[in-house]
Amino acid sequence: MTDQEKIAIIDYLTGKLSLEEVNKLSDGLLERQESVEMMAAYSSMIEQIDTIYARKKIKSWVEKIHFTADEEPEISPLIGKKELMNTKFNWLHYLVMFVISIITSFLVFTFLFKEDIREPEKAIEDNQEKKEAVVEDNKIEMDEEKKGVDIMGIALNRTGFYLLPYSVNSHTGVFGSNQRMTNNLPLTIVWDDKEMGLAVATFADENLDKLPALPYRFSKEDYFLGEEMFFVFSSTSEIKINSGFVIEDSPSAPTMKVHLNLKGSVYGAVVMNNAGVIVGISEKQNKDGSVRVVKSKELYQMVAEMNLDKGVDYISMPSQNYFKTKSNAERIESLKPFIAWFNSK
Amino acid sequence: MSDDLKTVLDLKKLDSKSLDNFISRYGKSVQKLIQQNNGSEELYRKVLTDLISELYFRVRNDISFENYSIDILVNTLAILTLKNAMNKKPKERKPIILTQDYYERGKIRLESLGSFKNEEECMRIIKGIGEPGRTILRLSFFDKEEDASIAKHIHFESEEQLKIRRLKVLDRCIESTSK
Repeated sequence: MTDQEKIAIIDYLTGKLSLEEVNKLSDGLLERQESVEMMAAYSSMIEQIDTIYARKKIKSWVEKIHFTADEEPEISPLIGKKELMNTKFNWLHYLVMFVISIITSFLVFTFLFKEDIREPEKAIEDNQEKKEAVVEDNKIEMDEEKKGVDIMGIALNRTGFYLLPYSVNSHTGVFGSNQRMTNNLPLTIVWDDKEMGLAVATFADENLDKLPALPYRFSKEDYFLGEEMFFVFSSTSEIKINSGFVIEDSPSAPTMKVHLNLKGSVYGAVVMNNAGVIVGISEKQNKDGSVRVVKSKELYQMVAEMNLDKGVDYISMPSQNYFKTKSNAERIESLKPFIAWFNSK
Repeated sequence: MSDDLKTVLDLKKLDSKSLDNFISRYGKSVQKLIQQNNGSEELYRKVLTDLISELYFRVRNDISFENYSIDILVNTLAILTLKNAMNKKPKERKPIILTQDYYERGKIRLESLGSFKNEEECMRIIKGIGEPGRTILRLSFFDKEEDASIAKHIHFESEEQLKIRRLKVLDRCIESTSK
């Protein structure tokens, strides 16, 4: 069987042929015994590939779900008479809850109303501040759209592979530079994984010098709730630092949420713990000051997959942490050569 | 079309909205099933994964939903996936789901079982394919992208080049499976 005939079978199985082409195929190629066997083999493999990627996606999504222990599950056809009797009790329960919520709402509104009457000037000021905050937020969003988004990357190895948030894929024509360059160079995505929320990219120039030995390592830990984190970020040659506490995390989750003390762009920022170990990289900051951080343990899994691929340079992950006994100022200074910044314009 | 049917049919997209809708509609009844059978949170996630995979398989392959009420179908499939998960770990406590009277249990089967029973083996083969082969397979057969956009994405000069490469990659997969 020729390659063209095989391609026609694959196109047929994936529904890419027109009705006319299908009819033509049915009259000739598809009637042959070897075509039937070939079609069964391709069909089974295509189905398996589809199922594999679907299950991968479902698994990563289901990982985030937990038991909601205190809530009564909805009534399903499987549930027997005992549960149906419970529903009568539930009506009473809902009624009591409804009355309580009305009383609470009444008290809250009365309190707020009184406060506004006592201090009308304060209420006007508050409203004004809220309006200004909204205008300011909108302005930031519009500015970002105008200029393109600044994204930061941290070196993964000496040859110049940089770790970035996956969202870098949504921007076309990303250019960047690091401390050792004078011009902006286009970015090439070497690898990306949407489920893990990570991408690895490099500069589209093979003649760049190697970086010095990396002084930091990436954490393999999976649980950081309540820990203080430091965000190191840069969109130009200057580097800034911000800190916050982990407010949402679970051992199985690929990301955690950190509330930051200051506002500022942290897209792709390096997130370090107290010991100077890199625990992840951040997504864009939300308006409430919180930010989602992709944990670096995901990186190890992604790098393992990359290393199976012969088409990509082998990555040996840095294992030494020279930041442990250093101050934050010293850590930032040491990080400078390993940081690159990117912009879509 | 009923809301329940739409919730299940939307799983074809497998986006966060369709998954959210499905969990908010059926998550609690699956949770109750697991808790009644002394199952852990891990088992709950496993059953949910298998259940959604099964429904996705049915939707993708246009297997009809008209013969049953969607509630009955989903809940019966949840029970079957639970039984299946427990059979793989015989040391753990067996489920007590037989105390519940679920409908049509003799007729409803897990259609996707054959497709994902060699999941690990298949994953190993796909990982061994390397890039851009793996991306071609994912975009062609899972994301169902157009050939033109796949060719552009992986910087191929033409769709013909893509088709030939896809064929070679697929042949390699089949060859590895038969070894």
